[in-house]
Amino acid sequence: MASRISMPGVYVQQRIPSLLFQVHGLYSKDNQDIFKDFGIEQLPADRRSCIGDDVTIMWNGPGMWLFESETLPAESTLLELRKMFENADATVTDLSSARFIVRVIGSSARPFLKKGCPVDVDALSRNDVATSLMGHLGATVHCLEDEFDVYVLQSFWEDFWEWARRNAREFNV
Amino acid sequence: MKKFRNPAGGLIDRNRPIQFKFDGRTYQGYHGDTLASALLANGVRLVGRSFKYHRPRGIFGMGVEEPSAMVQLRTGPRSEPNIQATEIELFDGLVAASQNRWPTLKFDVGSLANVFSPFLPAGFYYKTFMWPATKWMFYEKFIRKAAGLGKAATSADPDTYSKTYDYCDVLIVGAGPAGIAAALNAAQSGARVMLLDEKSQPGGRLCFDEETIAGEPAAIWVQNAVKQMSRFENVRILNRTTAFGFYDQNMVCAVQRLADHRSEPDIGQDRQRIRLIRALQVVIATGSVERGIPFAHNDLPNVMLASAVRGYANRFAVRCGTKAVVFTNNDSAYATVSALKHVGVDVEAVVDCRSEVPGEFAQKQLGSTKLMQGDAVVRANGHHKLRSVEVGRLIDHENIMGKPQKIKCDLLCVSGGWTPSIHLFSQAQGKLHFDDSIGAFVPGEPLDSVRTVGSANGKFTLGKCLSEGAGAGINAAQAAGFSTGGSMVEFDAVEVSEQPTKPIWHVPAIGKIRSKRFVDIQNDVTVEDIELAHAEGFISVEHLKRYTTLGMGTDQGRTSNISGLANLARLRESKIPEVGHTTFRPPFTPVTLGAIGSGEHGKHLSAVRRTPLQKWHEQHGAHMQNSGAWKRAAYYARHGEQIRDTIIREAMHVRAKVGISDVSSLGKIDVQGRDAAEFLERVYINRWKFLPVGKCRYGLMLREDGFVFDDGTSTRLAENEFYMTTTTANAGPVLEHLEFYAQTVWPDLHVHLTSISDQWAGMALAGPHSRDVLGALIGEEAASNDALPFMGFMTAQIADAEVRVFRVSFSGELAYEIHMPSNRAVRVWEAVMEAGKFWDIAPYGLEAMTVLRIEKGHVVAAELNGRTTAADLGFARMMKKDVDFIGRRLAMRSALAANGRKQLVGIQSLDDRPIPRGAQMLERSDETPPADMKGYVTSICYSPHLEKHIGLALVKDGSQLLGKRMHAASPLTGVSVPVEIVHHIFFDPSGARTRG
Repeated sequence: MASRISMPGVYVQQRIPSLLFQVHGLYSKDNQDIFKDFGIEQLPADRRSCIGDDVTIMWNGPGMWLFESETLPAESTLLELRKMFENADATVTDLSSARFIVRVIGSSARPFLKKGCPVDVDALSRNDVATSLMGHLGATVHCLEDEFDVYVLQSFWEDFWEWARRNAREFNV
Repeated sequence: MKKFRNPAGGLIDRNRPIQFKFDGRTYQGYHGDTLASALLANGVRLVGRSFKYHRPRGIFGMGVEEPSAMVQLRTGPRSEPNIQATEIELFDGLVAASQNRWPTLKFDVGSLANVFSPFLPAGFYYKTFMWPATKWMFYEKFIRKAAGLGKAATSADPDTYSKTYDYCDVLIVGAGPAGIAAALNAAQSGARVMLLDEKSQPGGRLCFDEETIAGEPAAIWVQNAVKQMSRFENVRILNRTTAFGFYDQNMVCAVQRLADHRSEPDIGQDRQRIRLIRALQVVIATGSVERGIPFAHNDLPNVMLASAVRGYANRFAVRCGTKAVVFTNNDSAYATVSALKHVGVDVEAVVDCRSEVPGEFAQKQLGSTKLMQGDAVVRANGHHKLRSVEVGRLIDHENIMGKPQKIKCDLLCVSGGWTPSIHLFSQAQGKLHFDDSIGAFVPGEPLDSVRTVGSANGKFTLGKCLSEGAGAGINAAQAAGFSTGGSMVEFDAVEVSEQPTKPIWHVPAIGKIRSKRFVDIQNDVTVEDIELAHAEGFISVEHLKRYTTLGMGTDQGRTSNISGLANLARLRESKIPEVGHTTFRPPFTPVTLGAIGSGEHGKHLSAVRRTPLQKWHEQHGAHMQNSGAWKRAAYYARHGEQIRDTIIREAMHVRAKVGISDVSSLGKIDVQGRDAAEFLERVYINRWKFLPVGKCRYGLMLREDGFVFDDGTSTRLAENEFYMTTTTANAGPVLEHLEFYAQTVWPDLHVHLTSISDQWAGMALAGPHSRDVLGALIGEEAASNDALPFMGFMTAQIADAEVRVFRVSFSGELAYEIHMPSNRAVRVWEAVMEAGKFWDIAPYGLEAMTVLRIEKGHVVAAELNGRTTAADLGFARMMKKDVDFIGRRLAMRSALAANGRKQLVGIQSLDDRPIPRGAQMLERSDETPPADMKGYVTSICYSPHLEKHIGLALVKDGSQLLGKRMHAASPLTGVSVPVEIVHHIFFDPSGARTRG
């Protein structure tokens, strides 16, 4: 068997945020700055994200947003958002346990993702969000320049991990 | 063995010799060789046996058009049959073997088929094996043994395969002169350009034709062009990559051979990769394929395509023979004359069936070689190799005049003209046009985003290839939205004048004994076979193909299709375009099943959903079973226990003590919004608006056509928030159904739906001691009947997790469902198990759950089968009379309320035998098919509590038949069991245990 020695081209690492909510609604233009207290001046455009103070808001479909934080407490933030949304025609649902999230890092991150994601991965730039597939699985891909976060359903985590392990092998994961 | 390799020249690396084996014998080649070139260099001429007649065959072409030289490549699990020797890059240790012969290639017993060939015409198998019909099974094993060439490996493929998605602005397929010219021009614009080529290095014909571009040898021009393109970050060149299919919206599928040129892939490297390429603009520069000419014994080893002989000479410095004759109907073959002379082969004559003088450039290449104008090779002579050819005077392409002249030679180079490779254009829905001047189909009206250039477009001269390619590159980039500045990089190539091709579709047969004139060498299809098919009425080109196998196989008739069509046109006395052509289906070249599967096989075939408790189940002996995409615990077998005993034990345990079961796979939907209650009111058949906060309710929803869609419980968590559960199987469809109504039918309602199936895991705690266990976890008072009555709901803390507790029962016992965030599921489950130890808590699986629910008469997917109404299932009184809901109006159709509908009933075996699965309900046991079936059995089990075999069934007017005796009969097994129709609730009909 021939051998090859090289530095890893891809790192795949699980990431567990402190909270992940789905916000539904906010159709009115008056609500564009609703997250300004979290450092987000305006809701992101379609297929885009905004990163504020400890909070990331990702577009997740028409009138749907993923609200994510690494540090904020889930329970009190959920209540805070519910209060905020009382007059905003919006609802919020806790999905903190519903997604398996990995961060993909490395020089071969894009070639790796292209093996499973049918969108134009090379065209993704910082703060782009794609709701697509990864392997057989529905996935949300969030581009952070040369790093990517991939979100799949929690119940598929083993399949996704196995897919990632298998497909990253050529990049010396 | 006499060597046929020149000491200098070619694009091989003589410093890197390679050892390989063919039919057990060791040979030497060089890095840069193909198996075909290396075999030719070693003087190996006999390479295989033909498919049908086992005739000796050699190497005919130099690329994907090769019809004859197919070998069994490698050994063991990597062994592959029917690989064209022309497509195999030589690597150290390569092992190949000839196919379709026994015991040896030279002495093949199967060649007796050639002796009996008069009895084996086209379609003989359709006729011969028709009678007597009873003997077919006898014939079949011999036919199967005789069919095919090589053998597939019998052990698992050790290699890995993958796929990848690519996007580009301009995709160029083929890196010959036209493709490179297109790429160089498109690259200047900044557009993302992908250039694919099936060979190991770009260049196409420029790698072996002696031509010049801008005053330098073409091969040098290619090297410089590749170097130039490598400076552009926006250009990707993929070698060893074949575009094999063109699909909707410019999706081109290609297979990239990453490791086929090595003995085995590197560690972690895939062997092959499918590339799914989406391009804004596509330039097809796939070139053309030289075709043969059917004449007697034109399949002998060393009867080769003229371009192939030229290629072996120029690219590999190989002499394919010592004395050659060239037989052509066009000018391109004259280049072979000079190439042969260059490597030291004597050219005895050029036989040109045209009576016109060839073009100036061709004449220059001919030099002093003898030219026989207006003649044709009528027969090749030899057995395992060519020894001579016979040349006769051709009259009107229909007759041979006089006695043919014999010329001794060991190599015949044939050129019957060129056929553009228009497969991808045709697959892109492009219409083809027949060009009489070249005798081939070419692309017709251009497509919006597809351009065909160069010889694929029927433009064969180098100058035209370059200029067409350059123009297409510019235009494609512009069409993709990139500015090229209007300037085109042009290339200066010597444009030569040519005498037009004069198509010749077969050379007339001579003599009384007709020798075989092969049209399709791979499938042993002769001119006579086509004549026979036509005589038997197979005059459609598609019928001809299937009757004779013309154009099938690994080469897909690249060298033969046009000849086949032309001969059919001759017989039909029509023109070739009127005959038409067969469909150019993908793949363009054979693609391995491994690459198509791209590793998605075995456990990777489909995605599996796992509950967060799966590992716990597995650690505790659970047998997991599929439930849609989910894996669920079926039962927890103990050592030495039979499955039936396990199921009975688990079911009895729930009835007697307390059991716990994983119900995480249930669908869960968060329904929020000011109009959430109104939304549920319209979705379910029963009332929801006034359900108090903190209460659950069972709900049934219909499809628009009035039939039952799904059921489950929903709980009002807050005034404007409901927690809906669905069946496991319908979680996705129900959400889709609800979203459709929320978004398009009732957009005025303020309601938001979110799947939370993965957010919440769930467990059912069931049995007389379930309240005791819950009390131990959350306090006796909180768990009391007053605090948490039947269909009540509360939140609580278990193992530091906030959980949702629902007083619902699927088992007919006092029961609760505890739902918790998925990431806390294991901790909560273990806490419940710990708390339940005192009451001997035990897990139960899906099988025991089935027993419990059948005893209680609860319906599942088997009864909610899309053909039952609410009334059929006993839910008629649940349906609101005064408020509309989805499905209400069509559920009121008279046909759905008429007598004679199949209604849900219970059945119990009267003779202690199990009720057959899927049995039909009959009035009498002696009825024979087709019997009057009164209904069918939907669910069965052995009830340990009734000590009977019971089941649920849908029976015509079943609710009026309680007490009636019928028979549950399985037409598959022939088993018929007498049963009694009973009420579908077998156990605790008053519900006292559930509500207690």
